[in-house]
Amino acid sequence: MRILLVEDDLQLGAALQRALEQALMDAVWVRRCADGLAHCGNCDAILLDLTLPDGEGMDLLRQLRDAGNTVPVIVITARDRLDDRLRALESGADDFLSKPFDVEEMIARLRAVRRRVGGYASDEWRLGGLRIDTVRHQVWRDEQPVELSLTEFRLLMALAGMPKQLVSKDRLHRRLYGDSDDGSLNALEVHIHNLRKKLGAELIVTVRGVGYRLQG
Amino acid sequence: MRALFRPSILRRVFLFQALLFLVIWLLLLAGVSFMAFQRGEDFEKSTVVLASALAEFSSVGQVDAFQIGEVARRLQRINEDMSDGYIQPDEFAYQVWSADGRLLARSENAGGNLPPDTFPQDERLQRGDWQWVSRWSSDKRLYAAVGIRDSFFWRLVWQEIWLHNAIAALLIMLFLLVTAWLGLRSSLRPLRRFAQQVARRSPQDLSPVTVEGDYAELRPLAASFNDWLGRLRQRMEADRAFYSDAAHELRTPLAVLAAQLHVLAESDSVADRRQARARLEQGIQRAGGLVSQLLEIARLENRQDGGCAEPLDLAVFARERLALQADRALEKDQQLSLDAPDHLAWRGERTALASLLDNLLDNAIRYIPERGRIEVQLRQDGDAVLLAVCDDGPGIPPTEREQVFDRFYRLPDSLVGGTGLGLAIVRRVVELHGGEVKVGVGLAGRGAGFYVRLPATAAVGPLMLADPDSKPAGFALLPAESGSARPG
Repeated sequence: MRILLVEDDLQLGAALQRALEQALMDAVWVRRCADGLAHCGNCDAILLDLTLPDGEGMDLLRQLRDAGNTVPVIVITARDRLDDRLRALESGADDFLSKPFDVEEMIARLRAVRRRVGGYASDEWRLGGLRIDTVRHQVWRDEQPVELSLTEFRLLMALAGMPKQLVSKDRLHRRLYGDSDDGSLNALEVHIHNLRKKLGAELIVTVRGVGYRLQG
Repeated sequence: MRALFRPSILRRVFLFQALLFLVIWLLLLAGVSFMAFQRGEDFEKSTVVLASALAEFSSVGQVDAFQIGEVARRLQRINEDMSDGYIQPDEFAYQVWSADGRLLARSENAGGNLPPDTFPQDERLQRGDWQWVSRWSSDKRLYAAVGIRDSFFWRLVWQEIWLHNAIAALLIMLFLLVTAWLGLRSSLRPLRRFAQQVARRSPQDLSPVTVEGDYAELRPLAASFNDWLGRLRQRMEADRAFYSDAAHELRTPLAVLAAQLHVLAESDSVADRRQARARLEQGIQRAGGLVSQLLEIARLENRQDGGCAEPLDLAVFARERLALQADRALEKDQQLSLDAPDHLAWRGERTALASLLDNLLDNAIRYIPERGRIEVQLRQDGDAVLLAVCDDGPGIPPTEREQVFDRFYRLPDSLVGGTGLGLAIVRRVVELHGGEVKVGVGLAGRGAGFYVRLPATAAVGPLMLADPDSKPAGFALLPAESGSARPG
């Protein structure tokens, strides 16, 4: 799960990034609105601080929603008055955490919003014969455990996050390598190939030239 | 009984009034007494007439004791009708003598014999408590002496003074006093209503008090009261803003601690745990630093007077504070230098001044990179002391220079964490000492420079706000281009 963390406080940003990594999530940490906008395209959820040096987090949120981006956003802020919370939720936030908050709770809420997007009932995602423990990063195929590399797991999560929907190659590529140019589209195809080998060829459907779809 | 001696405006005015009335009454009494004694003399004259009449009428026709007694009795009646007072029978005495010195008649209470030759020239005589007046009849056949007892005279005067004047006056005065008391009480009602209005307020209600009727005497009271309320309101709003800001600012360090603790708990490897612990310690340090700075600014904000300004050697003091920070500068390989005279006598508050120097130095050390340079200059300039802390670090953009002194303001994009209170503390200390602080460029046209100007005789006084328009004389340390952008 790839999380974009928009937080200007140096210590808090570093600590939250580390905590997300410990929870086996990929965390991208930026300190400004502008950077947040640049990175919001390829993440599964956003943790958004409201007071940022170059503007209000709320504006970022509104811009995001105006552009049709439905990525789950959890607002983390030192403001905790009711109207702050209402304003954030009305502006398109999916959840609200006021500082200081428990990191466990933050992670649980991240998983919850993610679960909701994928339409799953619990943190153990089930799709046909496939079972993914999103907390412990374990995968079963027809109740047989399957060993996946980290990259393969990320790829599977990206596909499973939007089950039965087409996920473009570009999106998958960015999910694996971020915005850097490391790794070619060929490498993506290799990873897909390996996933098919481990999970069964019929699970991942190729839409030629466009992307892939996870079949239930 | 004690309540009687409690200060009260009503009682004050009333007592003054009563005293005035007493004086007036005494004056009146004196006047009346004077007039009464005047009348006493009139009465003496009528006694003379009485004696004359007794002598004249007794000498008519046959002279015998019976006739004289009858004349005397009738005269006494006439006298009663004429005079205001009633002469008791035992207050009237007479003796009638013949020319050859025989006592012809006398009243029973006439006392000792008073032959004609006992009277002095003016024919008046005081004998015992009797006043005697004597007269010869016009044919010199008879000689009559009439005595009136003093008690009658005194009774007359007493009646005149007290019954006819003094008591009436006293009653009038008492009536006036009572009405004055009632009038005063009702006049003071607006004051009482004002007090009730204030007393009924809830502690949160700081809205202005309105005086019904707009009494001229109450207006200054209400005005100054409302003025004070206004200042209180401002102060409370400032306090509220401060508390809310402070609580708000504490949330992030607490969130940091929570996150760092979580990271520590989740760390498996020794190296990870060590790093997490170090970060947690930094987080705790930061939270502690914020709390102490909050306390410091709260202490400074709440100060109204100078507290304890004391004479101190500013040069020695600055050297001490620099020495305390020198280690931290050395850790970052920074050059820290002080350019100051050997001694600089000054008056100020030691702890506040320490805060000022520490915060300026701490900022410089924190915000400039390693191997940077920090120069502190201190010198006397006429009636002012100039202190400059300059560095060659990244500096402060001109657009931010106004705001850096605001509470909780941090430079955007700064990679160094700060509480945003250090410079607010600096400004407050400078204000308390009646000085001025400005920020400009630092060393060699780069970096940041903080220029503090403190009155040399800084009798630390109540908050003196520097007039932002007045260009201080002797701001020589401030480079000409400060406050404006400098290329490069």
